[in-house]
Amino acid sequence: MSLLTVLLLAAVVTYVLRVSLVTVVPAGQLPTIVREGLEHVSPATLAALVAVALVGGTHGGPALPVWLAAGFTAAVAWRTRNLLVTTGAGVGMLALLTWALS
Amino acid sequence: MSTTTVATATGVLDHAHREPAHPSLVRSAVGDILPLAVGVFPFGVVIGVAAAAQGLGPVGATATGVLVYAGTAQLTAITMLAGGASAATALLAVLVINARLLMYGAAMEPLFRPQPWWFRWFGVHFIVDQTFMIATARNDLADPRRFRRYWLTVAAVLTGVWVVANVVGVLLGPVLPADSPLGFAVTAMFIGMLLMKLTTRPALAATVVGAAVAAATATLPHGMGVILGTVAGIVAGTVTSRRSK
Repeated sequence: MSLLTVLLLAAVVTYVLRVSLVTVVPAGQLPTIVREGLEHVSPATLAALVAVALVGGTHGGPALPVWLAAGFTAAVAWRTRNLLVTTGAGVGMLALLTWALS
Repeated sequence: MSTTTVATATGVLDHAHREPAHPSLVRSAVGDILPLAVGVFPFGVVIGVAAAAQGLGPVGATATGVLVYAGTAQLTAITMLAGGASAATALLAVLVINARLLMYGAAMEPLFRPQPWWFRWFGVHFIVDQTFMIATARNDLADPRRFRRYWLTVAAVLTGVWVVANVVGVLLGPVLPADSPLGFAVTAMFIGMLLMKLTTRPALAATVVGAAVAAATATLPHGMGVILGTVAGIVAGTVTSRRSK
């Protein structure tokens, strides 16, 4: 299956998720435990994505500059609560560390 | 033509009987979304770069970017397929990652309920982290027309920035070095979003368990680490939430 086909199917899946509890099935009809579980999807997903990126793969496996940049990024996020500043600081720090340690 | 409503690119509703455009609400909506739209720009560029690397041109990357309209899931699917995952696994990851949109939809349902049918089916497409956060943070959108105007403005701005970012990424992709630190922008953004959600014990439990399980299973094929970590995190968050009641 081509990438284009998969992304078009992903668009369908995503739209169904969006529309389901707004237009198709009223959210109040969901079991309580499901509604509780949905509240934790966001942090769980983000944590899993970050962990896999740092440990496994997106940036070529565990590497000191990436880990240091990730720690710095977290500190900036905690301090500033600003997504744009956090992203810029993280990328800048990784560029600096990669240059300094190469 | 009685009360026909037309949504313009700015989200201002232009009625047949010439209702005022409420520029202050439009300005306010732009002011709300613009910093977040600027924040997702690097993310959109990264997705464009990743899409280009997998052979999608500007039209394909932009079209799928607008149709999926969920960068995390889109990038995950592209990355997983590039890493050899099957289409089914990539779609499962999309389903799990975007399951949070169910929660957003449920929370926003009262705002969509009094809307005309076309808006209930069309407007929901623009439910993402950023639009959910700003719309639910306001308490002046109970009037259906007011919410519609606000939501369409926000959607127009975010979609415009998203399209430009995707195109820039597709054009930049071929000239960027393979080890460009720009690829770290997504992870940095996720770290930022995550840190800002750590305000409760259940969220902390979901994060710690989700990260631990994902790290332990990161080398599993087909991107299963992300799915297992997410599911474990959801369970941990739910259990912690129930115990603290």
